[in-house]
Amino acid sequence: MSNYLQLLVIFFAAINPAAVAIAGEGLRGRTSRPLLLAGVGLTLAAALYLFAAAIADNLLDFLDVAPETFRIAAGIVMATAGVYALWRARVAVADAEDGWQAAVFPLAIPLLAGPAGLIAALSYGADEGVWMAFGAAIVPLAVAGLLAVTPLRRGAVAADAIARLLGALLVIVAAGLIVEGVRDI
Amino acid sequence: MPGQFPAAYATLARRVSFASMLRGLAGTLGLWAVGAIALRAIVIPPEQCPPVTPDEARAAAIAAAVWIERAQATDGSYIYEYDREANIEPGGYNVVRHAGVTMSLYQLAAEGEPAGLATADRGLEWMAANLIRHDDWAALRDPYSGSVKLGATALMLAGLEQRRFATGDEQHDELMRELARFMLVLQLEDGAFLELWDPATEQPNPLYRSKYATGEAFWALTLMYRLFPGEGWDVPALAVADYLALHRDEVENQKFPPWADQWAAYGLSEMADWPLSDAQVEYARSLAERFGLLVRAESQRTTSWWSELWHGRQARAAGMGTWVEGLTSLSRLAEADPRMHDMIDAIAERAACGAGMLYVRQVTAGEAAGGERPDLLEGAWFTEGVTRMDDQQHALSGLIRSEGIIARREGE
Repeated sequence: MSNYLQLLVIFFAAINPAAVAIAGEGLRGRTSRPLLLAGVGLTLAAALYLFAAAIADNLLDFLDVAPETFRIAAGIVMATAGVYALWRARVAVADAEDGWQAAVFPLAIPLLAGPAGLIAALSYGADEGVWMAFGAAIVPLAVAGLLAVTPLRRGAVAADAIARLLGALLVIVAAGLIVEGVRDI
Repeated sequence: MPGQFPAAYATLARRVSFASMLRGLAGTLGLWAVGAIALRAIVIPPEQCPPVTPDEARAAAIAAAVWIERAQATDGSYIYEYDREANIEPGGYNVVRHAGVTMSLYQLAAEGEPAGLATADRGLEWMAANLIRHDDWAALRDPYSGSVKLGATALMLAGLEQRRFATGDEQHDELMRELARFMLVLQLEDGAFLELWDPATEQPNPLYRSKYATGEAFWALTLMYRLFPGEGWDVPALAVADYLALHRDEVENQKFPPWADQWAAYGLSEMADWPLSDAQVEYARSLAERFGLLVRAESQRTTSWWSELWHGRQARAAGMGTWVEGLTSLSRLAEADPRMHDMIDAIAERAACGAGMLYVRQVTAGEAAGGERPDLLEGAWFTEGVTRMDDQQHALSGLIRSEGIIARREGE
């Protein structure tokens, strides 16, 4: 699998569109223009991912932490998010706000730009480069943004199962990242 | 008035909603900040790699050699430990460490710095006075316990080899062959070594292996091949290289393999142009990864109680020095073997980091001046108030061998 495809899978697990869809249930019906809401939320979240990937090198330098060591921290955060998704089949979030504010909170933060996704952007931004990391994150972000404002109807059961599967995948990815962080020079 | 109420209500509702959003956002970000602070404090504290120049690394190595010289008794033995808090020498002795300390001084000479040669020769005389001979071999015997350990002989041989590189003096060539032949008496069919020869039964003791001595013997054999290429020393060296690369961690129940064996790294580096098999390269890579991790973890440690709580106390120089020795050896291997070229920069970075930490933790003349025994303080490394002679040995070896790496990094 190419590096990009690997990253794509990792970001699908970290962002977990199915868990976002379930957690975003409260957003539906709060606005008459759900696509606009999704667009604003997605734009904000995408900007945060781009920012995280872009500052990764400088941030790690500032913190005096080697990328190898940071992988261990990223793995811990991602594993925690993965366990939560596996357990609850959703991402952790507070109640939705009315109107456009919902695009900022909770859609952009923390549904789309959650700790697992952002720390993955930092870690892979440092390792693989800004555009590679951002390019891999934007696809699951867009899917998650759309799903967050789309009524699930009969897809709820499937979303629940997929969310847990992606949670499990995230735990595996996180474990790999920790092992990599421990093993690398 | 009619018609104004819904508009005012809408404005109020928007304000309430906006404030509520801010509260939610602030709560979320606050929670993240707490998590980030905890992560920073526990998992990723700053990695501190003090800068060190090539000259400073060499000067620190020489200062360690001078400490060894000052710590040498008239019979050629060294002060084993010194407790600076109690101002006492707790006593005890270890013949393997005696051989190792002496070897490090010859190593310094082989790297172009003869400051410790006379001291090393006195240490060699002590060893020569404690040899046991049997059949066609010779071994270093512990004068206190009477034990005949592989590690002591292997490091004595490695010391003589370094002496030969440093001086070109051939007077000990036959002794080197005798010592090497003893090691072969302890070698098993799978390439591994037993640790002890039993003077009572005049046989190798089949019960014990040593996680240190196997690598020491391996390195000494590879150096024998460099010095005497036509005598077949490469055959047992290759056998032990395969044992180390393929079987040792499993056979000897290493819980977190690979065992961070700098002696194995020395030997593999010596074999760079033999060349190494793929399995041996894979093993060398895993060693580099392990030493790198150890240096990274050490660079996060401080002397604060918080750091000690989460990361343990700082490593003693005898430990940290071995990591730097291992990395410097693997750096030479990575330069020579294309299968390790991708690791050159990372290995060099960690080696320089380790050397920097050693440099700043060494007791300087100024710091020693206020102590009760400045002669046993200056140039040494202390852990919990105590220095042991092999602290100076391993730190010396690591520092002098990292000099070139630091110089190359400075030149880039």
